[in-house]
Amino acid sequence: MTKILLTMPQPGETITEGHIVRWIAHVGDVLTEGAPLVELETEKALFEYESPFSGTLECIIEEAGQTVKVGEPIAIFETAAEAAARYLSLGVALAYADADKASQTQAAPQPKNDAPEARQKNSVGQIQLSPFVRKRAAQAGVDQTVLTQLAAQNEETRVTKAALDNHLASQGVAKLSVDIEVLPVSPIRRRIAENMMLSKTTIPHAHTGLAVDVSGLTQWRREKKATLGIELSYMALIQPALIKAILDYPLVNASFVTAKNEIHCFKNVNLGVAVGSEQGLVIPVIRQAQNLSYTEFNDCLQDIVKRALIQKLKPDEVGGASFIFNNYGYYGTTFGVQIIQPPLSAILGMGAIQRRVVPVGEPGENAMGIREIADFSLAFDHRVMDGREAGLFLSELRRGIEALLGLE
Amino acid sequence: MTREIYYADAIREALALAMREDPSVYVFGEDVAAYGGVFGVTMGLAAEFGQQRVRNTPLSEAAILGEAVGAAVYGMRPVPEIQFGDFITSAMSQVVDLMANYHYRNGTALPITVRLPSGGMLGIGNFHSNCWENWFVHVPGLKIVVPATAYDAKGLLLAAIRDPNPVLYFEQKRLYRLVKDDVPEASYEVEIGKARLALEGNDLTILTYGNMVLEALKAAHELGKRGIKAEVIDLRSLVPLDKELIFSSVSKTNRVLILHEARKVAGFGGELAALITEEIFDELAAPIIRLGAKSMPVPMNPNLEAFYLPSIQDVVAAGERLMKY
Repeated sequence: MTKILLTMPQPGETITEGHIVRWIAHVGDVLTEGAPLVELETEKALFEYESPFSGTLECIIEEAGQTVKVGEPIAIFETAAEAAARYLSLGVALAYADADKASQTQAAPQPKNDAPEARQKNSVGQIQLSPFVRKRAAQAGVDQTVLTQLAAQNEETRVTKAALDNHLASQGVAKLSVDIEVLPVSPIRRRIAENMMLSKTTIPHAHTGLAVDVSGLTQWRREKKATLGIELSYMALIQPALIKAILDYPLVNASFVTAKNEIHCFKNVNLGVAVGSEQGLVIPVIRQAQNLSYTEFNDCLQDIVKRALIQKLKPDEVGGASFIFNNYGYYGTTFGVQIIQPPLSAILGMGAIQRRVVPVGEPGENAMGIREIADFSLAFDHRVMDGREAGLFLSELRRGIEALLGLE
Repeated sequence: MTREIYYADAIREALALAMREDPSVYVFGEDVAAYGGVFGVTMGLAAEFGQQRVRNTPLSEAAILGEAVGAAVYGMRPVPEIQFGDFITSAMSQVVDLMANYHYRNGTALPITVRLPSGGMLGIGNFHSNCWENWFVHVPGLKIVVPATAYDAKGLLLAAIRDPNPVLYFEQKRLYRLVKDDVPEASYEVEIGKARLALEGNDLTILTYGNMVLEALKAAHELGKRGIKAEVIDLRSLVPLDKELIFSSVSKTNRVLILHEARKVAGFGGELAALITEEIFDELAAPIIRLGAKSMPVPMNPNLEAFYLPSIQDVVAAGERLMKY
């Protein structure tokens, strides 16, 4: 039998670290390849990671709650020698002896859990934190470096409650009020925050919008439901019109590349769908949406949204959108001033469908009718395009939707 | 109207009040009638209420508690006394099998209050000093109270007697003529299941009950001289337990010291420590320390008994150790 190291996987090119939510397997479990092993959360998704090895989970190096850089060891497996050789040659495992190289800060990975001493110490790296100190430090955003300094100041390996309190007081952090419930920021939440800051501080946003008469669309949808028994999503119904408008005005499906001073227009329409889950906003992507009929698109959409809501997306289904559709109307709102997801050039939003009294007929008839209306809004990067392109894009979209483009 | 009275007199007052207000309440046990009980707690009750309602029994705890179950089934509100709490072992079946389960099995009330003079620190040895309350915490269907003040002794006893189901009332024989505090003359109740904040502090929480409340307060005074402000919580009731007060105190101080006279091994402190760790682990800045008696029979010799029991010095040392975290 040979010991090999399981490292933090990289489920996407831009992923640099992962957060261990929960170990599904336990130390001592004998696992086969593909057995559920650990629940990981990256900035993009929460997912169940399957064991890449067949063997015994010998030791968990990084406990639930830890955030670990991609490539750092997180567990030790014991496998048959031949299997270990195969995993090592495939590069899915790290040799147990290579541990030093994998981590500069940490010598050979020690089971943080095994020795009774370590268990008592509840240590983070070299310093020891009680549950309360750990919680308070996390709430106040005190990082590991500061904690290490605090321990060193007292010539101890432990950060005492008093030492932390004194430090916080010196930083002007008042005692945490009992009126405030402090919530930790999950990796997804943190990534959303970073993206939004990046967008609002680097992209000059402009906003425009128009009202679209979707009476024909809703009628079509009702008929399909009655005859075929299927419930088509509005996004699927507008997909043909949206694709045409995007292909006609490709600047909305583009990116401003500051470093090169270029605008890159994407050849495919990889349609990102903003899905609000309890864990936070996720944007699963339907790739090459220009090649799908609205019914094919509808099937893809229902599957991907359903899984987005239960955190069952595969890592390669998130990220890489070229254009994003945001149906905030789902929550009942009619109006949105959106933030573009960097590095894209635009985001389209659809408000709730409302019955509205509107003028109908020819000018001069002065007649009113009740129509079903949805307001669409577009946030766009003004570096990439101007109001002209944005307006023409939206008008083309409206034309397509009102003409039931592509629906048959 | 309140006035200072002793713990023992507060108990007698509660018994007399309960007997005056409810003719179904009656008291019985070994030597409780004309003699007034070995500690004098029932002194004078026989004269006021007569030999029918204040009765001597044979020396059989099984018979005493067997009678209590039968009398309660037939509509009485018996308040039996087990002369020394230690002797309850002779009536385990009556308590554990009959009393505790009666309501569950039959759906009707079984209003019994068993008085158990309990605990030591008096140099009276192993058959007269034990604290067995923890055994009964393990038995569902029994309420367990342990008063530490005269006020609580009266209020808890009245609440126990009026309770429709069995209450084990562990009175502290050392406190009979030691503790004296303000007690209303009138009838009142102390709610069973509510702990008492005996001393407020921010640095550590001492969870205790019974005899050890006094020791905890003395130790808190010593800790105060060293700049450590201990909060002392007198649990008063082990079942039901006032988790709310315990958790709010621990969430404030983040350090816990559990102190009881009963032996530490498998004592109630273990249950408390586990509960806190399970439910509010994140609030702990230090390991929970338990202090209780050593695992040995209660010695008769006062020096040996002092060795057997947790001392004020032990509490102070534990408090200082907690502050290192």
